[in-house]
Formats: sequence, structure tokens, C-alpha cells
Amino acid sequence: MDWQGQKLAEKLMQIFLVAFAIVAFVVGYALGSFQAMLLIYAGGVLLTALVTVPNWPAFNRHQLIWLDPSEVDRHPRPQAAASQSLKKKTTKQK
Amino acid sequence: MEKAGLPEPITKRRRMGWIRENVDSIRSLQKRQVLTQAVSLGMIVTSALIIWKGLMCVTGSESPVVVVLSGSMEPGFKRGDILFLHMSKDPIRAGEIVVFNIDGREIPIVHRVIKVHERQDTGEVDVLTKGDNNFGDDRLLYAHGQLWLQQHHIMGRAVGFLPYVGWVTIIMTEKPIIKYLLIGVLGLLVITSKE
Amino acid sequence: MHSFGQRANAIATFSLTILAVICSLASFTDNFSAPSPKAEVKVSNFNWLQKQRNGNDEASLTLNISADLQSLFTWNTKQVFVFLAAEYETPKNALNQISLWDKIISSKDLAKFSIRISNKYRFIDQGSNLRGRDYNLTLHWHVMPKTGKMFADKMSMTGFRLPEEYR
Repeated sequence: MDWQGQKLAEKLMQIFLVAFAIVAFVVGYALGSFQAMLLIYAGGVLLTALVTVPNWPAFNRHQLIWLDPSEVDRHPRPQAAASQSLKKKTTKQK
Repeated sequence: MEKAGLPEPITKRRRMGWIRENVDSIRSLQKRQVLTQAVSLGMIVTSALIIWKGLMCVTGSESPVVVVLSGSMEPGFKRGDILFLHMSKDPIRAGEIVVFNIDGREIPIVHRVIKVHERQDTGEVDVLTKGDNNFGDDRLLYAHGQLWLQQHHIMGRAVGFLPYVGWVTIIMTEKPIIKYLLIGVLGLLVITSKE
Repeated sequence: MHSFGQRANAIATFSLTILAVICSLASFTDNFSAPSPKAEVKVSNFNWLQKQRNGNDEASLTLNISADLQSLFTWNTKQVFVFLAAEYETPKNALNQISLWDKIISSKDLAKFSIRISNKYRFIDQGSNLRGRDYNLTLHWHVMPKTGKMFADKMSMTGFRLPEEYR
């Protein structure tokens, strides 16, 4: 899942769950049935899980394009600067 | 899932230095990681303790939350429900659901008060309890020859409850293997997780 | 959010939090209901009053109980526990509460009833103070929600008196 996809997935999850909770509560209260509320909400959670948990192709539309190694080869950097930038990357990546 | 690959270092003379540096950075990183993980673990444990002790202060009961272990109060309380206790100064009255300890019994019992006799002079109470789902009263459960519960047997009265949540505790106490498995898996997760 | 496990974890945490919120909201709606239960209790027959061998008085009576507790039920009500207690004061005890009868009502349809029954639990005093004693009959109800806070109320009926002599 790419960065944009992660953002989208998180947003979708929150919106879906809150929306289902509101619908479940209103329907449950209107019908006077606690069970209806729980069932609707459980269904909503399942649906949300189906939509946001698997790595659907829709979440992978913004792949990062890494520089080709040959590019770096063509523009070699000074030694010190190169090692520093590498270190930065390793810590970031963890 | 998708981790950004490092751009391959290209020349051999650079590779050696890079590896050494990387190893160094990983070493220092691990030390810090272990430390931060220890600290966060400590935070979890201590905050749990704070919540528990805080609840004890607020409710005035020595165990503010109990898990229902038997079906003797069904259909009101089922096995696995969690009860919140409160210990106020108000005298105990019939109909209240109390949690009490019998001398010589380890596990506290949650039952309903059906008879109350409150002394004129001292204000002491004699209480008889019964489980809603049981046929007879609790004299058979009490210590041998004990007819009444006194104030000091009572740990608190139930004021609210949450269904099902207590099943976790029941499963863990009855099947210790699952407890150790869970602790093991959680420990592994804590050690391997990088956040 | 970059891995399957993390997303599953996030959804589990968030959905449980919301579940707790809607359950407490449901419990909160109980505050808006204003129940108006009705009940009537009569002693239809006084069976006997005796002194036990250990010196305690015991009485037996037959009760007529009719009640309409349907207004206590809301959508968050699991059951209503209703019981009838005899309450009286003696020189020894400032308050005696003796449960005579109880019932678990699990649905609204069963909350309107009328029965005639002799006391289910024994009416025994601590001592021999029952002769000529005035007592109340109090109908208590404890409402148990599906989740959240329990609440209770009662209705007292006064003016009952036990006979002056054993019989």
C-alpha cells in the first residue's frame, strides 16, 4: 500500500465506522431493539474491514518511483555527503 | 508492506565503509530501541496500576471491578460479565446486589440481599443473600453455622455492568496455556515492532 | 497503516471504542424515560403466627399482588427484578426487611400480572416481636439494563398489622 493509499484507507475506515455507528444507533433506538443496533454495527465493522484491511489495487495508484541506480552512478556525490545521506535514510527507514 | 529499497551502493570501496556505518547505526539504534520499549512497557504497567488504584479510591471498594464466575444470578448477570462495585456509607438494603467474602473461601460471591435486620443501638446489620437463579438462600454457602452476613463480609454493591468482557479473564484463569501463549505473542510483538 | 496487521489492529481498536461509545449512549437514553409503574398488594389471608423452638416468631400469609410494570421497560432493559418485602421496626432492630416473594420479569409482555400466592421465603423475626406488630409491604423493582447503570425504585403500602396472639 502506498502513502496515498494508507491515508485513504485510514480516512475510509474512520468515516465508515462512524457512519455505521450513527445508523446503528438511530435504527436501534427507532425500533427499540438493542440487538438490531449491535447487528447493524457488526455488519458495518465487517464491511469496513473488507474495504480497508486487504491491500486492494485501489490503494496502490501512487507508487513512489525510486531513482534508478544507474542515475546515481552517473552523478556521483562527494564521499562524506553520500555517507551522511545514507545514514539518514537508514534511520528513517528503520 | 512495501518498503522503500535503499539505492544500491555502487563501488566496492564505498561498500565496506557503508556496511560498517550501518552496523554501527543499527547497534546504537537497538540500544535505544530496547530502552524505549522498556520505558513504554513500564508506562503501560504503571498506568494500569494508576487506573486500578484510582478506581479503588473513587469507589471505596478494595476490588472495584469483578468478573461474574457463576450462573447463579442469571439471567441478570451471566458468566463473564464485568461488574462495577461501589462501597458507599449507605446502609445495605434488601434487593441490592452485593459482593461478599465468606471466611475460608477464596472467591467472592455476587448475590442479592433478601433479608436485612439492622440493630437499633449499634446500627450493625445482619444480611441474608440469595442468588436469583438459585432455589434456596445462601446459608448453605456460608461458613459452617453462620446464619447472617455482617458488614465486614461485604466488599461492595454492584452499580453497573458490562456484558461479556470478563470472558478474557475466565479463559485465562481456566486455561493457563492460553495466558502464556498470549503473553508470549504480545512479548514477541513488542520486541519485533519498530514503532 | 502500512501492513495488514497494523490496519487490522487499527480497525479493531477504533471499532471497539465506538462500540463502547454507542453502548454508553444507549445507556444514557434510559434517563429520558419516565416510568409510571402501578402496583397493588393485599393480604388475602393470614395463615398462621407461631413461635419457633429457638424463640423466633414466624408468620405465614397469602398475598394478592397485581402490578403493571410495563413502563419500566426500555430498549436497553434486560430484565426487571421485582420483589415484595415486609418492613417493620422492633425494639431490637431499627429496620427489618424480609423478602416474601420475588420474580424475574424478562420481557415487557410479562410485566403486567396478577397473582395470589403464599409467601415464598419464610417470614421469621429475630426474636419474638411479631405479635401485634405493624408492618409495611413494599414492592421493590430493580431494573437491569443490557449495558450500563442499574437503577431501582419502590412503592410502599402501609397499614398492615400482625395478629395479637399466636395461632
